[in-house]
Amino acid sequence: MPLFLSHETALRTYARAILPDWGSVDDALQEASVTMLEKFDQLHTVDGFLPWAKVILRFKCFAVAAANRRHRPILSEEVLRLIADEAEPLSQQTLLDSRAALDACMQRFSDSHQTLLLAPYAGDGEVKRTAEQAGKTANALYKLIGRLREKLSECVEVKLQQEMT
Amino acid sequence: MDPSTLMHRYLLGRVNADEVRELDQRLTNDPEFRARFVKAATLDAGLREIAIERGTEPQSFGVGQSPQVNRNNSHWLVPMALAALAAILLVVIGLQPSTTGTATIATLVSSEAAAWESTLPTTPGSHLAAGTMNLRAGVATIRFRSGAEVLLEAPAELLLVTPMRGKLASGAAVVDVPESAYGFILETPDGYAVDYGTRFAVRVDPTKQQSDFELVEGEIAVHQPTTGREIRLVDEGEVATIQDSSFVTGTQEVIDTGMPSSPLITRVGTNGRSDSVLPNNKRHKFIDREILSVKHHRREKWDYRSFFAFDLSTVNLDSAKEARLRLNLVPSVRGFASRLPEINRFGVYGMTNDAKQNWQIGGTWEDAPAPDDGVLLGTFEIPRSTQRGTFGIANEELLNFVKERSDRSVTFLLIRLTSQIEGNVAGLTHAFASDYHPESVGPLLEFTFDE
Repeated sequence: MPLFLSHETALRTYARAILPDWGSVDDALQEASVTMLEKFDQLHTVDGFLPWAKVILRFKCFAVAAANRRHRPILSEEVLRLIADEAEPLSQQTLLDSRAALDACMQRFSDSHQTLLLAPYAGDGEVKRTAEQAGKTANALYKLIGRLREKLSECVEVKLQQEMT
Repeated sequence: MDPSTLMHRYLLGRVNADEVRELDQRLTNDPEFRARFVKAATLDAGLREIAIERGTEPQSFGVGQSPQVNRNNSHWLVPMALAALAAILLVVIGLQPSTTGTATIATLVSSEAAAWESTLPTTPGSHLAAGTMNLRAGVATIRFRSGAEVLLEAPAELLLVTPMRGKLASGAAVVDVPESAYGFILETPDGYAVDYGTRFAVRVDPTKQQSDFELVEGEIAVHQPTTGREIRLVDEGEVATIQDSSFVTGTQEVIDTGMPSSPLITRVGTNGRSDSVLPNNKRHKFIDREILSVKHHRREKWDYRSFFAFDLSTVNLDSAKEARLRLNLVPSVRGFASRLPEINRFGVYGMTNDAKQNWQIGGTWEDAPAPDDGVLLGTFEIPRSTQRGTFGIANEELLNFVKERSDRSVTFLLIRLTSQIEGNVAGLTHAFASDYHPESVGPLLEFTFDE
C-alpha cells in the first residue's frame, strides 16, 4: 500500500494531535493500517485516500485514548473531537511546507539548543542525564525546552507566512 | 499557567491531572488556542522526524511514555497474508517500544521483502524477547544471543525459546552456529537437532508431519523424541528425515526415492458456467460476473445464492479415490463482516432435479436451481474475519455423487446456512471467484487418482 507510505506523515501528525504520547500514536496507526488494508476495496479513488484513512484513524485514536483513560489523566472526549476536527484539514503538502520551514528554523538555533530540542526523543532519561551533566534539574531543562519550542514555533509561523506572500 | 507553557508541557508528557483539566478547559473555550495546539503537535511530529533522521531516537520511547511497560499487541493478531502489509508494518512497527523489562533472546539482523505476523518487533535491529516470529513473505535473519544465526524463508514460524534454543514450527531455515553457540538446539514438531558447529538446513512440513535436516557443513545430531533415537550427520549433504515414527537418513536423492510418490490429480473447471441470483432479480445492479455472491438474511429479500456446473464427460472417474470441490473466497465490497456471527456455515448441494440442469446464465431467482432441487453434499465454515482463502468440501458423498454422473454435466448450488446478527446494518455478502475473476481461480472439482 504505497498510498499509506506517501501519506504517512499526515496520518502520524493527525494522530499525534489527538493522542497524548507517541506510544499511543504508533498503536493507533498500527491498528488503523490493518483496518485500511481490510477495507481497501471500499476505496474508489486515490484522491479519496487521505480523508478515508483519517476517518479510520480517528476512530482508532479515540479507542486508544479511551483505553488510556483508565491509567492516566487525559483530555476529555469532547476536546479530543474538537482537536481532531481542527487537525483534519491538514494536507500532506501543508506538512511538507511546515517541515521545510522547521528544518530552516532549526539551523538558527545553536548546536546545544538543537540537541536539547531533540533530547526528549532520545529515550528515557536523556533529558535527565543532560540536566545532571549541566548541573541543573530535569524540570528546569524541560521548561527551557518548552521555551525553545515556542520560539521554534514562532519562527516556523513567520517562515510559512513569508512563503505564502 | 501560561497557555503556551501548558501546551508544551502536555506534548512533552510532563502534565499532572490538574494541568490536564486546565488545558482541557482552554481547548474547549478557545478555538484560536486549539489551532495553536494543532500547530504545536505538528511541530512535535516534525521534531520527532528530525530526531529519527539524525539517529537520536532509540527503539524505546522517551516522550510521554505511556504507563504500560510491556505493550503487547496480541489483540492485534489478525490474519494478514498480504505481502503488501510488509511495507506498512515496517514503517508502523518501526517505532515500537522495545520489549523493555523482558530478556532479549535474539536480534532481528535483516529482512528482505519480509512481511510478518508477529507480536514481537519486526524492524531490522530490533531486540527480540521470547515469542513467535511468523514470517509470511520474504527472507529474514535472526541472530540468537548465543551467536547462532537462523536464516528464515517464508512462509515460516519460528519460536524464540532461549538464546540456545529455537523451534521451527513450520517452513524452512538455514542455521549457522559459531563456536560460541555449540550445542544450539533447533526443535521441530517432529524432532530436534543439536548443532555441533557450522551449518545445517531444516524444512518442516506440518501437513505431512515431516522434518528434513540437511547438513551443509560441520556436524549435527538429530534426535527423534518418540523413539529416543539419535543420528549424527557428519557428511556434507547428508539428510535425516523424520516422519511419524520413521527416521530415514541418506542423501537427498535416496530419501526422495524412499518416500511415497505424490498422487495424480486432475482438476475440472466450470468453463464460465456459473451464476448468482437474488430475489429482486435486479441483476444489472447487484450481480457481478467476476464473483459468485452468497448471503442469507432472515428476511429473504437480500439473499444471494450461487451455482455452477462442471462437465464431467471428459474425465474418467472410475479409479478416482477422492473428490474435492474448491472455491476461492475473495474480498467482498458489500456489507459488514462485523454484522455476521463469528463463524459462517455454507452448504453445497448437488442438483438431482434434471429439469434444473439446463439453467441459463442471467436467469431469475425463481428459475434458478434451489436447495429443493438437490441433496446436501457437505458444509464448510468461514470465520467472519477471513475474506481470502480456499474453501470447499471433500467427502464420500461428493465422490459418489460425481461418480454416478460421470458422463454428463453436474450442477452444484452454494448457499449460506447461517444468517446475520439482528439489526439494520447490512451483513457481509460472501464472494467467491468465478472464472472471470481477475486474480483468483473459479470453482474447481479436483480428483485424486492412484497412480
